[in-house]
Amino acid sequence: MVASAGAVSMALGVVALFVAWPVLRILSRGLSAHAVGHVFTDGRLRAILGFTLLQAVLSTVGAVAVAMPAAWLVGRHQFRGRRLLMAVWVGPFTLPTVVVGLAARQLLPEGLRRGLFAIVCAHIFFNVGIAVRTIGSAWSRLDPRPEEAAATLGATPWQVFRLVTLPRLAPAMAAVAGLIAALCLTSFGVVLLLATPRQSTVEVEIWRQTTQFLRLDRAGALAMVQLVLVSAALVLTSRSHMRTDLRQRAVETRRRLRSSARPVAILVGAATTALTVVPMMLLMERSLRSAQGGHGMQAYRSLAQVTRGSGLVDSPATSVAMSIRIAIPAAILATVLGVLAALVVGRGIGGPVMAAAFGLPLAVSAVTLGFGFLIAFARAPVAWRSKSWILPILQAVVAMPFVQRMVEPAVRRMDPRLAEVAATLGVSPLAVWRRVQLPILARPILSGAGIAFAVALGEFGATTFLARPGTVTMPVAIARLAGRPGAVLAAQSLALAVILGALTIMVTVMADLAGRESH
Amino acid sequence: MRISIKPLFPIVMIGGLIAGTTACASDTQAGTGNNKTVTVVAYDSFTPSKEVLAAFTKQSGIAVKLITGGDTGELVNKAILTRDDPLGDVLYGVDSSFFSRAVSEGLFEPYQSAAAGGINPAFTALVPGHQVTPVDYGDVCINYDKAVLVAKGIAAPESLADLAKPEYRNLLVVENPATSSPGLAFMMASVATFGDNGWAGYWKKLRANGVKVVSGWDEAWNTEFSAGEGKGARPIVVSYASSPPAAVLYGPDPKATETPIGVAAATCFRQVEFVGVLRKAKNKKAARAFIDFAIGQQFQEDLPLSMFVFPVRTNTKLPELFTKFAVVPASPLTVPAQKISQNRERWIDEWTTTVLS
Repeated sequence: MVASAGAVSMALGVVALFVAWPVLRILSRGLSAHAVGHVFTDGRLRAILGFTLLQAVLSTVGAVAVAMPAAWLVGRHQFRGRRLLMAVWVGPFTLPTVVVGLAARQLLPEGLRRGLFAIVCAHIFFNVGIAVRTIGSAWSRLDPRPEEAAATLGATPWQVFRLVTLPRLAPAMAAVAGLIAALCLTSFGVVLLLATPRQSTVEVEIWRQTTQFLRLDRAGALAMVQLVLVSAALVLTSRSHMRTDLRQRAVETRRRLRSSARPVAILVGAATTALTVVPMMLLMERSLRSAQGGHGMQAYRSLAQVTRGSGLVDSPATSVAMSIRIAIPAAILATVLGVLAALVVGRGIGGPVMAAAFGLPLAVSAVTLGFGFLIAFARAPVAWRSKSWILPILQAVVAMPFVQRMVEPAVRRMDPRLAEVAATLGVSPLAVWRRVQLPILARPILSGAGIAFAVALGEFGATTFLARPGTVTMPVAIARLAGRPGAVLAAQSLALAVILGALTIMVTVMADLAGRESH
Repeated sequence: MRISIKPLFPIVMIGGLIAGTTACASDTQAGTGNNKTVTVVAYDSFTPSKEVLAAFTKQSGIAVKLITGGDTGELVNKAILTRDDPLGDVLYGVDSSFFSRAVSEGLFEPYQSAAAGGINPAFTALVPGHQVTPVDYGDVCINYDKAVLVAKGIAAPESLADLAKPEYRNLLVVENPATSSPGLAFMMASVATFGDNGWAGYWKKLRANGVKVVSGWDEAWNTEFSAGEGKGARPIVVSYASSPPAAVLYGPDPKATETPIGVAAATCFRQVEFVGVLRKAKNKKAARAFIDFAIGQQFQEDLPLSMFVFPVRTNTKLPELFTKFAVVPASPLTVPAQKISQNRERWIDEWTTTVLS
């Protein structure tokens, strides 16, 4: 028990030290009751708050709704290419917002290219893959017999779904909705790019008040409000998650597609794939356009060259290596922390307080965290902000909640008696972990590690605040190349974005496949 | 809870180990006070040529470390927050808009470089007490797509007032001054032109004339501007005096003799950028050596093609691309730094109310 307490307190310590402490440091510079009051009395800030909630709710409901048919497809059925499809759907998750903005403007009809509709579409595009994974995984573990019984008793398919399936899926839906809501509440790039100039969200306003005006009181007040909103979303969904998972089975029950269901299945698969892939294909096509007209690999070939005045000191290709080098330790650390968090929260230790504590990295604005790091880790004994390991740590705490959410359901399903029996039989705790628990958790852990790697690869906000010598990562390079005129640089920027997207999909697929083999 | 979490320790150990080794392998010596290294803190588009920085190291024996990130506003605010434990030794890129705030926060230690005599006196006159040293400048100007205007049979706009005329209806795209630095400069160009009492009225007219507002330069140029990569619908955009040479250099034909993009010289707002020694810097001697170098001939000549800004040193030779395609306005618009510092936020609020609500 001492050891387990040690592990938990280590995970909590990391969150406290690398999230809570920097945030407190920055908040202490300006936060006051007066400033918090201001958020609710100032008409403009109130409008911002309202818009933030509205877009987050619509985006979350939209993403979950769009994910349902696809979750049915991959959760209920076994077919070739299933894992590949699921990985491809997660592909957009890490795409830089610059790219998504571009795609949105190309695909949406004129007049809908900016504003609420565009933002909600982009958020759905980003998050649908995560929703499919979570809900699909829960669906595959539902015992199909109640449905069969209901159908035999004469219920229509809709009634079966509404009365039998949906209630049992609700915990998984709520869990992933909480995650998506948290992401949409704190979404920055999409909003900056797709909002009309009149619209703004809390996260954008925190960024503006901090970086442009240095009004830390207002930024701090907004950060507090955001913290409360996101924590509320996470705690609510985490609790509903806890209630009913026990009814799930540890075994997956997927069947071959019945031929009668095939047309629907193909339609669902094609539609979901189109939603996520078409913007990426569009991006790929544009990256292949050469400056002289026609298509070619020009932009890709030129990535290894240093282009003077391109906004980058080194060649764009070096950013690929840099991103990977930072993302690997970040993903490992995020996985360790995320698994610990999942074990703690999944077993209900500490209740909603603990769930909120581990959700903290999701609730904190990237600007607040980044600026907090600058002042919290300035002096000995914690003069760490210019250490090379600080970036992986920063990205790890940002990615940690994703791992946690992937692993948590499996922890809940794990029968505690298995380990107890093993322990009674004199098996050492290490062996219990290796032979009993690890095999059960292996697949979600690997999936989580894949997602963590992708999140670390795509992290933009906080990373830019901590830029150190030579740490131009792919998202940073993409943004810089897009920041200068000229077809050549624009094409390079898109080519790099394609590589980032491809890398993300590859890693997700590999993590999934590795998980299957070790099973 | 009866299950021990002890079994997790192997993972923790392995994870920590891997993270640790990866990190230590590339640990740097940032922030040591040996005057053998100078750490330059700059905005994210600070990209001098590698050869030029190597030349500095060769001459002086001082290695250069760059810490870049964010735009000018973010850079300055970051520097103010970390004033007592600065991120580096030299701050490159504080401009006229943020200059007053930086100085009043006591960010810099005054330094008068022996090489400052070579700088155009008009720029040095901007800085009382040698708090910082002018290092480059650029102009934010109205750019237009020559071909589209010709096809529409409309004359190129010459002044800010022109843009409010009916023939330019629905042709202009600008950046939001609240989120973009060229947007901010263009708003200040209107303040400089129409005065404290007239600029908001001008924006009312622009609004009635169908001005489009986007959040940043990137979007204005790459999506909305008709001569940009996205072949947008608007032939007039707020950009830089150096955009035409950049568009040629990175365009389909770097050897082109004509540029499709025109610049309205009378609309240009000047932004002068400065470099200064941070008050709590660890390597002040190295910092001063870097400033001497930055206003020296080699660095100044490198500026146009590496960062698309202009040298402050008189008689610096401009590359052909710039003499051919760039515009250097004879009398650019300016607003005194003090006035900007006092009013920036109020102006942005007023602009937002006038144009967006």
